Amino acid sequence: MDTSSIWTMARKDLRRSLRDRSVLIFGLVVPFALMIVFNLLFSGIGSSEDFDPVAIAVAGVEDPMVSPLADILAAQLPMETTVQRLDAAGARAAVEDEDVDLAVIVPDGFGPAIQSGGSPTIELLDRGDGSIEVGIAASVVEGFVSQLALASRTAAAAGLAGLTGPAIGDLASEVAQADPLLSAVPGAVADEQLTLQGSLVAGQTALFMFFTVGFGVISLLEERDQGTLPRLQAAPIHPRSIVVAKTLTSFVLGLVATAVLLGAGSLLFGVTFGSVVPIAVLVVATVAAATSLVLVVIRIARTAEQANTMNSILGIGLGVLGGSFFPIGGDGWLARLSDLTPPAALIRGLGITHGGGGVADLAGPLATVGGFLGAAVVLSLVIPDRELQA
Amino acid sequence: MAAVLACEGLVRRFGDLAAVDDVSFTIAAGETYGLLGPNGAGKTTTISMVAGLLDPDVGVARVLGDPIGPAAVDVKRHIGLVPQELAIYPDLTGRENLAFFGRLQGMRKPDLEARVDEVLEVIGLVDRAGDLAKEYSGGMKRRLNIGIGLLHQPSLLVLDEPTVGVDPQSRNAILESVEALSGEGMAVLYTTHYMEEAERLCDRIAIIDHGRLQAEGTRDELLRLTGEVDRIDLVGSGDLGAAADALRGLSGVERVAHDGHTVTLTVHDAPTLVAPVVSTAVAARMSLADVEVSRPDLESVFLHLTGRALRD
Ligand SMILES: Nc1ncnc2c1ncn2[C@@H]1O[C@H](COP(=O)(O)OP(=O)(O)O)[C@@H](O)[C@H]1O
Ligand SMILES: [Mg+2]
Repeated sequence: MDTSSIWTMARKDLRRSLRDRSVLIFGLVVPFALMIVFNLLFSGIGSSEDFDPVAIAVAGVEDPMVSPLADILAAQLPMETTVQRLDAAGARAAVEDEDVDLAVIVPDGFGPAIQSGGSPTIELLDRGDGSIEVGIAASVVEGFVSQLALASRTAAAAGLAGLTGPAIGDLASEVAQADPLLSAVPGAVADEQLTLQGSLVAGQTALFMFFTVGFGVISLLEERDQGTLPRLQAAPIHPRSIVVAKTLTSFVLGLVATAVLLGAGSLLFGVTFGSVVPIAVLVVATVAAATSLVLVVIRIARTAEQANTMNSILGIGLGVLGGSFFPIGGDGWLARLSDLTPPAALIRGLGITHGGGGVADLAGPLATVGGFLGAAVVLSLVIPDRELQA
Repeated sequence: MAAVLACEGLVRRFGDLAAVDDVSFTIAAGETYGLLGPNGAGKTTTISMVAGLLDPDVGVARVLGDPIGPAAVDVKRHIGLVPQELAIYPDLTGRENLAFFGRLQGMRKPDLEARVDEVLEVIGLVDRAGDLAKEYSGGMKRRLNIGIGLLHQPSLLVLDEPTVGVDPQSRNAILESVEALSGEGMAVLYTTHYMEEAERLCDRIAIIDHGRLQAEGTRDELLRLTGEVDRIDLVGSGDLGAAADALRGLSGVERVAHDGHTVTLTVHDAPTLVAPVVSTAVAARMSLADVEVSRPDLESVFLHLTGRALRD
């Protein structure tokens, strides 16, 4: 395999990616925008004095769903909160009469609907004065629903694989027991914690890494769709070097985007992640794991478009599961699953380096990432390469 | 002279279908060889084996004496491929497209730059070299597609239907540049389903159908195969299938084929047969718009050999 033709191909793709606006947008612009928006939304949260107290009525007949939700609202909101259980009609009346600020009504059949892969909505009624406190409470309810849906789908997947997943009610209470929405991310030692801004930068960087690495490897399918693959295969280069060049492209794009996001993010928000060498080791390993996932995706997808969609779903799924938006803590099985994702490893690892940890202290996250990488590489070798050789 | 390309008994199957079935031919330096056949005949599959994209199931293709295949990296250097589908990067400029594929062929500055300029001249894209390929017209993209195949001055240039979907002017420019290439000593393998192109460009032509070479030779040799036959085309509407069936019964008629608007016949001695042919067609309720009588051409050879019209 000759390195010069690999580099020729990778350079061509890097040049093309610079011209592709979506790479710039999804690789850098969107994650930055999200960091800024979340920071505006959440900063200052944490001291209850900044907020007015809020009264919430929670209604619904399915206790395994409703109780955990009421617990979350009572415990996790940053302002002084009173939560009362009412029936649906009572909750509606309470908002009408301005006895409560927000009514949260869980519809009948909510649990079964989630479990069968649907996305039922929880009815939210407020007094229409658009207060920030009600907005925060509403977003916590939405966070609960999406985490529950995700957990339920993961459990369904586990069920397909022959494992017995927990009942939906258990999932709901696990979601409720997860760490509070806005807590800092715990590192290996108690004092190794990222600040709110630190975890925003780390979380968004980890999430969007999957989009960026997608560009290189998925463009292999694009080459086939647009007819240039035969020409590459007819060139005097080793057949494997085409895939290697695409992988290299993904890897370089992922490294650059991650470095820019972490670097600029820490300047912008005034956060530090510790010393360069352990961070670099962590980032290289995580980007490699993300890239290996795309290598699996292109074996399964039939077109570049399909691959992009699959990659986005996997990326967002792993990002949410891995705590890119808010950590999934506690010690339930969901939290343990979360720990196995590359985004969780990156966020945890950055917490460790932030707390002064060196490469040796990163053993945990690096093992996670290494396991993920290994599994993906094995999968990409096992799944037959039916499309690309023909 | 030693053959630049020698195909020996190539077979390639896709499932139960033998897309290419025992195909053998050779091409010498400076020779342009045509594969003439309808869609699905096996032209692209043959070319994919010749260019090292596919391994044959049986048989071997040799380029300058060495077997070619996906793993024969060094042999590929002697081949320039112009795929049937456009194979260019729309988001690179014409010059960048050429330079990229030149580098993959192992060319380096300053030779590469000089050669890119030369090829831009040949394909008439000097003025647009700095524009992204996606801004080119269809004909310009086709010419760039061909230019990339020529860049490294291969011993064997393989063109797969390079004029499909091209306006008449660009088509003529493409044909002229292919004519010039064989003059420079390049061996050219050219596939097409246009008989005019095969007649104009190719020193020798193979007629391919259902993956098999039906006949091979110079244009005149192929024409002689049909014997003394002329061709009659009846253009019109009505039940062309019924008309074709009726015409098959007429004595002196050799072969009959039809598509949506034309019934094509090969006949012995057209001058005496035109009248009965026309009246038979009319009796079969075909309403005629035009009748053409022509001397034998490759269209009639194809009909003679396969019983089918070349164009579908
Ligand atoms: N990758 C493939 N898989 C299955 N069948 C194929 C494949 N490529 C070509 N074929 C079939 O082989 C036959 C010859 O195709 P092809 O070589 O493309 O013909 P041509 O180029 O003369 O139009 C056709 O029937 C086509 O459908
Ligand atoms: Mg073809």
